[in-house]
Amino acid sequence: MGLLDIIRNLRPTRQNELRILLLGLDNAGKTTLLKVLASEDISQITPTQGFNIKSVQSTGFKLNVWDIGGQRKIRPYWRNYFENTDVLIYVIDSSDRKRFDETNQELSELLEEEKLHDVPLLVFANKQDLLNAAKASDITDGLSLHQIRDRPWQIQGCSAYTKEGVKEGLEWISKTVTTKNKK
Amino acid sequence: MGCLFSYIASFLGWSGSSDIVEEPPPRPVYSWERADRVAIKKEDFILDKLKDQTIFRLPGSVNGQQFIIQNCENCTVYVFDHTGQVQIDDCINCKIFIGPVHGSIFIRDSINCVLATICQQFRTRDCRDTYVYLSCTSQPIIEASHNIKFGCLTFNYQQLADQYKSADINPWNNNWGHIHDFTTIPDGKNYSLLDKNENVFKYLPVPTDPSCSHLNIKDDIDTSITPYTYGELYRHRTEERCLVIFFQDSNADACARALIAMTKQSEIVLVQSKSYKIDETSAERMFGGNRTYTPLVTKGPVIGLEFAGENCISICQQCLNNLLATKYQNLPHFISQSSTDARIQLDKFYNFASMQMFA
Repeated sequence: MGLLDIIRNLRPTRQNELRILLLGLDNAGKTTLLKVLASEDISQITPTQGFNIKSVQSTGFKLNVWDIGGQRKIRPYWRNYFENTDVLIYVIDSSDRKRFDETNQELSELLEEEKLHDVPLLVFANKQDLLNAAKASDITDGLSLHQIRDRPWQIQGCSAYTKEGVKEGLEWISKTVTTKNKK
Repeated sequence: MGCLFSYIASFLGWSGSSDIVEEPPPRPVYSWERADRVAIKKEDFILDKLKDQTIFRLPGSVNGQQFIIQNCENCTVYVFDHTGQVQIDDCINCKIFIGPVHGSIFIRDSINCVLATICQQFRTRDCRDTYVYLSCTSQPIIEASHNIKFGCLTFNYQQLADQYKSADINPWNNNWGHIHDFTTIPDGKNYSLLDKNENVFKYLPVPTDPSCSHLNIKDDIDTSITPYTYGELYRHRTEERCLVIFFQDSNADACARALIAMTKQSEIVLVQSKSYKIDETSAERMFGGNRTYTPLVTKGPVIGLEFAGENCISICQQCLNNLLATKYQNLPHFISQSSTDARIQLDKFYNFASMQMFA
């Protein structure tokens, strides 16, 4: 299943499921990223009205990636998907500077959620291929990621369209979840 | 002396042995970090705080880059080129045409505008009193917006057909009137659909600048790259339907257009078109037990046309036979034989497209 193979070899912490949650504002590129992870065509992607899920069966367990719609109106439903999350991937449209405050706000609120306590965080600074994109390092400062003390985190600049940077993000997940499960 | 040396060595990071220390592999240079890309100035692709101006961008001037229009008032903007993602923010009384957008076009916090565009995704938030003419390959969405009027964009100018290809947009997939509203209201609707006779140049000024006269810009239905479709204006009407499918072939597009033109002489209308690659399982379900169609779907995407009107099956068959006999011999095709069959075939045709998209 393409890039998802990198994290296929992981063992989940509980039950037989490894849950990855894809969140972020609407138009961030979450669904495109999901399709890229699954090596599927990205030319017919439609704005997500509910959620999309991709499942991979591996030896002994199932890997589920949940992509939830990010419109302002439906963000209250995000909490329905928090339980048993093993990794949070937060996707940002790096070129949508007008909404940096908004995405900062949403991410801050997520990091205070009890049900997401301890969950490792990967921030994909997506759409690096667009002219107006802010660099991942600038976004790191804007989101005050260096102040995060309670969980492993990483920011990775990428372009879901060109696929650059995506593999690197998954490799961090693979390394981080393995380390966490060894404890 | 030996102790001191090894102390200094470790301080300097030298290995005590002569092992080769492996360096981590160099990080790849991403495409956005390359010199030619870094040289492009983003300011050339951002229109900000303009008032009472008319701006043109000719073919080749944007060339797939992101384009942003923000804080503008009383402006008219024509982008006659294919672009990357587009953002339109905080605009008042602006009239905007954007050529084929690779990705999404997102208009926010804007009032009393006219926007005509060809795109893969269309989104609004916090907008009102705005006309939107679309050729959009996915379902357009609106949020917290009111009094948005949607119309089917019919448009052509020199090089537009190539720009559709550059933006990876198929003119046979247009969902202009099939709107999803994230913030529906209990009594009434936040949007309405424009009739066929409300062409885009009724609300968007015709460009008159000499710099674009050679482009031969037109909004008439006969020459439009995106065919006019009634879509949701016709969805619930009960007239007889007919499904025509052209399988992958170098003449499929031309024949489909010729068929549409020919049927205009009668009263039948084109409700919807759709182009996608039917997979083999769906093909077997679509065409009953008839296996002759299965190898045809594997060659590539089909072009499907939904016609409606009294006697539309016999009219379509007549027109199609005429075309096949004269200009398009041996063109692989399918056409409904009865009106009951047509309804079932259309349901399957659209359902299989959805299922394959969400698989």
